[in-house]
Amino acid sequence: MAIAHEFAYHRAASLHEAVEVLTRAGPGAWVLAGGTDLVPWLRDDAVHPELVVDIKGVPGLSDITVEDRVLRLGPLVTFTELIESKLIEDHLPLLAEMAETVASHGVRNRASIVGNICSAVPSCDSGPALLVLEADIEMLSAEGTRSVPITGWFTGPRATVRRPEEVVTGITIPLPEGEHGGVYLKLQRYEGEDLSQAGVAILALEGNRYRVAFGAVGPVPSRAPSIEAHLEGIDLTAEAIAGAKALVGDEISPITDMRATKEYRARMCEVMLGRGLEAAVSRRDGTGPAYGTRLV
Amino acid sequence: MTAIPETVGRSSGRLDGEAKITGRFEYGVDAARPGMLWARLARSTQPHARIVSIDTSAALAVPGVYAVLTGADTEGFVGSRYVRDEPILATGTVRYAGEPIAAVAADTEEAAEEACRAIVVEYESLPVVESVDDALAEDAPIIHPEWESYWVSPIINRPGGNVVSHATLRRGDVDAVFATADRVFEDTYEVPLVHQASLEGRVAIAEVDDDGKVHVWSSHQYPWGLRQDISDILHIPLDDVRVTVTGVGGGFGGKLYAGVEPYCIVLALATGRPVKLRLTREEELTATSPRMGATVHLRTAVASDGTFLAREGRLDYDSGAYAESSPGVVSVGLMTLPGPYRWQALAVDARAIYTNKAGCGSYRGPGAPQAVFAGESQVDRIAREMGIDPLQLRLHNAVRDGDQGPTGQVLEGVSLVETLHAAADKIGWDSAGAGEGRGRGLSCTWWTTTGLPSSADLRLGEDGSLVLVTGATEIGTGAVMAGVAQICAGELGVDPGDLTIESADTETTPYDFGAQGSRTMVAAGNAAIAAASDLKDQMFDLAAAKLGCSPDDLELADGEVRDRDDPDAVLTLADVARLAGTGNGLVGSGTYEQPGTPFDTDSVVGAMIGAFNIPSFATHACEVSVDLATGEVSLDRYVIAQDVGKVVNPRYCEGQLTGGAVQGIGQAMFEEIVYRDGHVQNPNFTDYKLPTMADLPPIEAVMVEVPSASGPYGAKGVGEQGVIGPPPAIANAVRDATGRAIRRLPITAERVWAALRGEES
Repeated sequence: MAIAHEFAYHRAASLHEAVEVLTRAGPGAWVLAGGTDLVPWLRDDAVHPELVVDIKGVPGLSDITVEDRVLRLGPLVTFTELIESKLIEDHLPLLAEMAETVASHGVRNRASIVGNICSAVPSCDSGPALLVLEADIEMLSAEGTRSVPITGWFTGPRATVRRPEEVVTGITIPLPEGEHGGVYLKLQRYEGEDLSQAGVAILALEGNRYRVAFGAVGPVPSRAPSIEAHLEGIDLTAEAIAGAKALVGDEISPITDMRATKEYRARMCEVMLGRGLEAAVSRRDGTGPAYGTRLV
Repeated sequence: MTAIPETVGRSSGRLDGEAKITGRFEYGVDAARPGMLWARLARSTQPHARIVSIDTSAALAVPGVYAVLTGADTEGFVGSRYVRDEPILATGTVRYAGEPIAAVAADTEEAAEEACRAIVVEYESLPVVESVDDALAEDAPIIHPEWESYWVSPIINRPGGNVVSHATLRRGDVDAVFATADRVFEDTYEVPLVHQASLEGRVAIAEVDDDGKVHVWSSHQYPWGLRQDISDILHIPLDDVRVTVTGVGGGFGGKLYAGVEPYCIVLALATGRPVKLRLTREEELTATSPRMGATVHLRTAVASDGTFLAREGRLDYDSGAYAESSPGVVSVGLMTLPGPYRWQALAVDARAIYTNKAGCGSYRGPGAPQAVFAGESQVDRIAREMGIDPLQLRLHNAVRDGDQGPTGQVLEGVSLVETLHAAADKIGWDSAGAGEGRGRGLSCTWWTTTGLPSSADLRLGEDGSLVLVTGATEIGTGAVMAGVAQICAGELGVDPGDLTIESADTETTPYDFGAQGSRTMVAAGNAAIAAASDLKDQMFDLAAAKLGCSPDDLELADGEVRDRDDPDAVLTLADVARLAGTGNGLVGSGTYEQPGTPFDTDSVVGAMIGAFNIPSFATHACEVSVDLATGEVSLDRYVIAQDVGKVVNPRYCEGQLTGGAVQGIGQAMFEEIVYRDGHVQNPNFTDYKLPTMADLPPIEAVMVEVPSASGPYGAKGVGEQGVIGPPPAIANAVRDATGRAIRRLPITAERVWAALRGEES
């Protein structure tokens, strides 16, 4: 359907200019990056911006870099670029595995990972992966720059700590020390494009330390501290996995909607946690299933 | 049967192929007229309510708006074809969420949309009938309290209340045969509403000329049916309505009736401007004639050796708020619930029942998937519980030549056993027993080739050009632009590429009963053969006079008329055309109508379809693996073996089998229009899931050829049957893999997971 809502459009030449325009405009302004959420929402009459500030023309925002053992993603880095990046493959293949589950080819070619966490729908695939990678989100405003840890980013469904006049300038991820293995499992209704019914990201580190995060089973993607504490320092035995699964109910609060019931989501989180832990550990140890292998 | 020409049996390209592949092809959504306005519809936000008031003043004030019409302006304009129960704009009562309340024409689609949003409607809510069970309850609200006053097509059996129509089949003494049975199996199955989901939604333009004549351009499957609908609904004389079919971006039965056209016409009449209306995906999924859901109760009596004795069934189809095509569709349930098997006695009741959902319509294989999911799932249960191989049980009970169909028609060209063997061989059925979490399933179907007339004119111009003028519509299958083209060209001894096809327009092309019922290539192909024969007779008479030989000495080949015995006696097509001396060349004409198939008319009541013409048969076989922890079903292999009579174009014939199977797989595993409290919860492709390439194994299609007596060169209709078999084949494979029966579609991971935990699906 045609967009029936009128709004002003500004194509920014730099992020500083974008910030200036956003600051002047106030809370009715939206940032346009890939547009794969904003444009459908406009078309569905679900959002009513007064101004859309397009940052696609700003140069240099698609860079993926590693410096001083910190990986940095520019604000226009798309899911396709994550999948195709040699740096991601070498350092954090978990991000590529996650990116491959997002939507369809066409959407992945446009949609940015920064846009995904700014839209902040509870089922966003980036959330759990960035949570276990302990990413930081960099922002720019008229007052200067600030950096927020991903654990403090999501404040509710479609809500984040970003203020309307702030622009995200990048995501930074400290590369994990030592051998590590990651995994992202996504429960979907079919192999083609689908939104997550439940997502689990896991990072297995040296010394049997684990980071676990869930998506689509609570108002925001979140880490699972009780599961991480339970597994801390122990070998991944059947008993350890069973103990971890028993804690899933404490860490998630799924709802029933037309995609799945809360019971199914909860039980599948247990199944995915078990399979994910085994895969992450065996990837850490160099024996695991190749990244990209579907585990559910 | 005539000799089979060289053009038949080849995977030739289609005449519209290049335009489609290069993006030049013009679909209905691309069409425009000078001075055209855009229409939008304001729709009910309530599933069942009395309209207290409608205020359109703010809508009329929107800049660019030319007209805002409500039910008060369209009083007496009521559809549809079998029961006149559906006003084009609601008057007094809305009966589903999404029902049109007002129609707006404006300079732009955006302005029309803004005006729709500005319309203020005050409702008084009425209780919502959400299911057929609700509708049949003792104290159910009656959705059409004035049902007795409606015009009804005479063949329909109309019990009243919330029951739109009730068709029955009675053959033999069911009670007596059940009394002799060794085993009786009884099950209930449920099938949800699903949508045709053609990529191009419904779209049309209407224009009214100075004399009041209405011209409609529509993406449509059946222009003559549409013309009649328009005349009936809007009380316009038939000869004041012209329908031109645009390019069609998919139909699947969803474009057989009047849909968007009446709104374009009333707005064109109100504004004096051409008006275009195209529907959004959300409108398509909430308000445009999906496939009926159904609850199916089924009892089957079986002898100890597995011989089927009698079957008794009740099909309660969910018609939604309006009858639309449901009275016709339910009678297909009578034909398909028994399946292609021998029976001593049958008793089937099929009803269409009003609920507060979108009125339901026709969708590829209408009425059959619901019945066949029940029938073939239960055949599998019978086999497994009686310890008989499902293939052997089907072979044991399969109809053969000379057997009678469910209504007593004598079956000819029966090919069920051939398709069973073909599918079993392809899937490797003998090595069944795939192991934990893996399973195989079968299903059998039969289907009709709908008759009724097709006509064609074949023009040979003085320049030697050949134009086939047909009322048959090409809706994407290749039936016209490949199949009919190959048949016609072959009869004339030319290449299909030498032919131009003009189709379809109620004023400039001869009648055709429409792209429905798997009939197009069979009926329009036969009409083309008749037209070619007429043209050839005329050509040979003229050529024989010129060449001084007998017409019997002549042949038509390589674009020439020549004397078989005299290599020098040759005329080009242009030469022959000029001999006519008309300036127009020659015109051959032909008409074909499949004679009706006799059946026991006493066996059915209220059935609009009592026999399957030129019946065809198919067997589906598949292999699945099930993740026993998540319930996820992976479709590993899929085989469809279908009797096509005679392959005219292997590529497009296979395309029909494959495409049908894919749509059926969607209905088996993914698709459902989910209603809650009378509102569709998934009016988009985010949550109405269609299968993608990633979800599908290669579909292995086997084209079995058991010729028919009357199709071109023995061809049978192929379009619809493929969609019917997948749900039971996949359910049976899941049962083989897990030991659990799934009795409700779609077979989602969660449903299988629940079944694995012992919960009834």
